[in-house]
Amino acid sequence: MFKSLKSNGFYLNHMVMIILALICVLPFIHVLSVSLSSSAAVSANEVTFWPIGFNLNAYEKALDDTRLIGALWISIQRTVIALVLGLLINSLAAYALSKGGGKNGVRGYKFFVAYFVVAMLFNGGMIPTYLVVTKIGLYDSIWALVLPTISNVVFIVLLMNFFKALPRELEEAAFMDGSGNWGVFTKIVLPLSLPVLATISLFLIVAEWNEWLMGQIYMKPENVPLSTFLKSVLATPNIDAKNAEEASKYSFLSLSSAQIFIGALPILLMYPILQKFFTKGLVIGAVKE
Amino acid sequence: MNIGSATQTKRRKITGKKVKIELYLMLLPAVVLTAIFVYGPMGGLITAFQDYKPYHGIIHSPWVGWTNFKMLFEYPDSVQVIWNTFRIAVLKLFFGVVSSLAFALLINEVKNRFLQTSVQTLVFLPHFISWVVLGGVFIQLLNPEYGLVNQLIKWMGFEPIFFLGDNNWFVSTVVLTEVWKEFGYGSIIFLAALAGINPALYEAAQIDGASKLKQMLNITLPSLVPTICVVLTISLGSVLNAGFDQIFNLYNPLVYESGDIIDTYAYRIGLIGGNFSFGTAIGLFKSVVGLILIVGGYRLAYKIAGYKIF
Repeated sequence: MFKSLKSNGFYLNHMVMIILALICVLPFIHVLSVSLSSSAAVSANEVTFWPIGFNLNAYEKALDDTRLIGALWISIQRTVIALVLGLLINSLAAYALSKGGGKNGVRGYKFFVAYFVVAMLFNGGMIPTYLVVTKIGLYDSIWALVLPTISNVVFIVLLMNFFKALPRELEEAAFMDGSGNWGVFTKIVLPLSLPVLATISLFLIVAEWNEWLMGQIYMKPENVPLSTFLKSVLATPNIDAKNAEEASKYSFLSLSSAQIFIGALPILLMYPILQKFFTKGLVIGAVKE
Repeated sequence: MNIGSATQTKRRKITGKKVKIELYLMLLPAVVLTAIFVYGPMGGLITAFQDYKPYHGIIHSPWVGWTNFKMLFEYPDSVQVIWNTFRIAVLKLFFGVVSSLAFALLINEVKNRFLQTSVQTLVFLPHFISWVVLGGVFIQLLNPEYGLVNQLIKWMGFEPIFFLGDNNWFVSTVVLTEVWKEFGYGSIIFLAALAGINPALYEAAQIDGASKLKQMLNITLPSLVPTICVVLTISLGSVLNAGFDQIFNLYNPLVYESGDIIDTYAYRIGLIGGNFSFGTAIGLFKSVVGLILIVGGYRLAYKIAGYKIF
């Protein structure tokens, strides 16, 4: 009797896991199905997890909107700039700090560590930051989306720990050969650090792609990134398109579903790589033996 | 020490100066950006003690002392907001840790590699999707008329529930959707800790005839105590962080009473309403409480489990 109980528990556990996994993806499948279904099926609430009356009208309509294309372009620019600058600025700082405060390190090492740690723990908050960004003339500039968050203490710590763990001998050999820190950084440290750089790139891409508040407060409505644009159209559904002829082609629910799905698509496409690296990154950062 | 290495140290000393300047140049961009965008706004915090008007600027705005903070604790609105924030954040913290831990324990028992990795792949997914998108998804799913969840509820013979428009339901909905988004990702740290448990302990327990349940209670859970303590103490810092992104993308005026939190309130009053000083004051209050709890939390984590970031 005991044995059968055990194996029942075993299958029960498998069932629970499968149900949890389904709960996590079914909402997305439902939205995708609605976006691909016919207006009649959507209005009759018939669509669950498979499109009924398959068509792409909602996507045609969504992509026909020049505002969406403009916002997409802003998002791409912002992500690329933040990726390049974020990797460069944070790994440079991390390299300098990885030298410690010793003979070949940075004088005032403790001061710099404290400087960054305080910046991580405490900040001026939303309104004072808004005042600074607008005061220095960044309002409605793509730099307002990138610069305020680009120097990131968590990334610096992650990179620094990785750099510290690299074998010393290679660096020392290069110093002997007359390389400076810049040479060692570009020729030895960076090429050896590709795994951690990849992890941070993915962190950066996801964060930049998903961020919407800065777009909302720092940009004019015609220059917002995709996430902010989505926020505004989802908050006030485009009912203006509801004249009879258009409503027969797609329902506004399909349109907002299509918009939701377009917003999530880049992340979904990247997801297989993401999942692998994020798991690693979190473990590098969180669990230290 | 022979002559060769002595000349080498000499050479290193000469290049030392140049080497150091390079290091400072490398630090410079991060230091400058942090100065402008983190320390600069900290200076702006003095507006919390002023009646700040943009056309006067910080220098010419009149000083009002602690008035803004007094208002914070006297306005029924802001007191409600502080309570809402605390309530939502603590519920999220508690259910977040419990759900991640439970999931880690269960998935750890699944020995079929394919099932294990597939389930993990799927449950991590929501973590990476922004609240803008998820807000859209949930508003649609939970709609009282056409939302799929309410159709299921109606089909089971109950009255539809206005999850995002009813103060009795909003907080539970917020906590549940947050748990839905993060339980998988939150389990990673527990899984890492589980992987570190010495298998010999389980072997010994099996020889002694301990059941699976006994093994879990007497080996697995005690081994996870340090990790649980670290996660809980470090999360202490976020007891006033109820999740601006999530709330802002899910709420509406109908549920301000239960769902308005410090950050959304500061945004509406401060940035949209133009009451910069009051918005800054409420933000400052939150940051100071957060800071005290973070520092306290780290100290505690260090004492309990020897956890250190640096």
